[in-house]
Amino acid sequence: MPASPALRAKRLLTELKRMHAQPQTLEQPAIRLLPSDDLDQWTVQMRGADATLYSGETFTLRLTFPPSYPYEAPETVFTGASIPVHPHVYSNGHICLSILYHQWSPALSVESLCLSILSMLSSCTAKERPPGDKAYVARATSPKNVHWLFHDDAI
Amino acid sequence: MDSYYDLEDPSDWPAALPHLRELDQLFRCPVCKEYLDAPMVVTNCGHTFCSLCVRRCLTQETKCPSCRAPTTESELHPNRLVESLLREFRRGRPQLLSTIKAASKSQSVVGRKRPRVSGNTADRDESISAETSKKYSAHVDLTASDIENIDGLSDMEMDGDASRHESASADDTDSDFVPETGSRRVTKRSPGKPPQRKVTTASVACPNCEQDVRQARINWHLDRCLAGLSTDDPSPVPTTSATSTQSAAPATSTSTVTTTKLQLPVLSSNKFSLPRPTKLAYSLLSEAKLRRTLRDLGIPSKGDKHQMQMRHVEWVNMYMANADSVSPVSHRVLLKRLSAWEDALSRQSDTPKAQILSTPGDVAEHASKYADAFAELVTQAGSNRKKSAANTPT
Repeated sequence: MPASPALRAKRLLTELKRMHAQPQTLEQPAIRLLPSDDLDQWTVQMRGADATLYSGETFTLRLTFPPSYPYEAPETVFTGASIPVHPHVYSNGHICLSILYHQWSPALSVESLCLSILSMLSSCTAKERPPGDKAYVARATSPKNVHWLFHDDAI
Repeated sequence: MDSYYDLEDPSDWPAALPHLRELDQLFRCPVCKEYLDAPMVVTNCGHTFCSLCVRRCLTQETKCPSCRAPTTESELHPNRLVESLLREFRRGRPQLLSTIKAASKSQSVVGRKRPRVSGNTADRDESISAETSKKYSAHVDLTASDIENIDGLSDMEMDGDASRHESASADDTDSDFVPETGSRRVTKRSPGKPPQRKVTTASVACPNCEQDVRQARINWHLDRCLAGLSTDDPSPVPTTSATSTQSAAPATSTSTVTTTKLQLPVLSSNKFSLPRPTKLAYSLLSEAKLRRTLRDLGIPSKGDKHQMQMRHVEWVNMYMANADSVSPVSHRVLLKRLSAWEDALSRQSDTPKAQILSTPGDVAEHASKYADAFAELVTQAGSNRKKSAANTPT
């Protein structure tokens, strides 16, 4: 697994700067980085897009960057009290999305990742938990240890 | 490490110039988000990355990082045009930035417009990303066409000579504006910039070995340095470079010679060049065989098989990326980078362990969990001592 601490640090700083440079003209940006002292774990606040099932709701994402970032995806889960009810989001916050796991590419970024998740939420047609949610949540540890099956291309 | 504020970023450009932001963005590698370093194009899909970045990606997965099309390293080719474009763009970047800054500032002084768009730092609060700025450009006071009308920019456009940068930008600005960032960046960030002719006694840093060399000697030094020859030899200039440095040759300075000797005594050895490494099937190699291969390649051969494999993978990528570069560094520098990479990696893997062990909660939990065992050991030790004390008199 390639890893370069220098590249990782510099890239995280660049992405941080880019997140901060986002338009401040909007009163409520769709994706907002919450202040933190830890460069290895970011918290992002996400607002449900207007005219979707999640309009007006606010969610919190936690991104943890592994040592081999950006060659490996950040561990991304919903956290906090409000976890979106979505067929691909388990009630412990784990997200079934291919680009978070084997479809990750180093060319993706925190921003594009958050937008993908937002888009996944926006295209939802029915608010429900995935099948087998309780059983999964009971034994789940880290989403990275799970063998995910990505079956649904629609949402 | 670079600080957050030193990073060059597309957001340095005013939001009123979305095309320049986009241009800046396009010159960046999708993997490291930095300006492309030895850009390589993936020939079957056309995406471009830094050589080292794409090679590291392909080590992990043989797919293009941008589009996931199956790709191998044999499909990488250097993108010379992008490399030249980027070099010129980076040379002109500070100048362009300071001119735009000055232009918008002079406009705000006139009072025709509110001073909303006034360069990169003051503008940051109001900045709009390249994509959305098209929608919102109506809200921004200073539009791109306004800026074009300003004298400063048209002056700058005619001024193609990078060496005229400092005087040109100073002339264009207000009396209270000091283009300190511009001039600083030019000197710091573009080692490929042609040396200024008027200064003859100045020393310049060699882009290869980073030591200070008298400017008159730099061509001679570079020829030797890049070829891996010793640079402390004051003997006559080699015939190949004699024509270019003929006038400079008599100025051979003894100070250059002595500093070279002081800093890098090892360099006095003869030509230093390491053999080209090839990819290996590590699972088919025994640890001893791999160690021998590493030693033959001239890179450190310590550690277990996994460590050697990681080092070899990184070395192959670094070596090949260096070969792709227009201005490759010497193998000595490359070896230093390899060891710096490995040091950083070991530091990174050490830190979490140390943190886990020193967490106060863990220590307390450990103590309470094994409290009974500890108590038993204490009593056992006490009884042993009594026993031995009773035994010694007899």
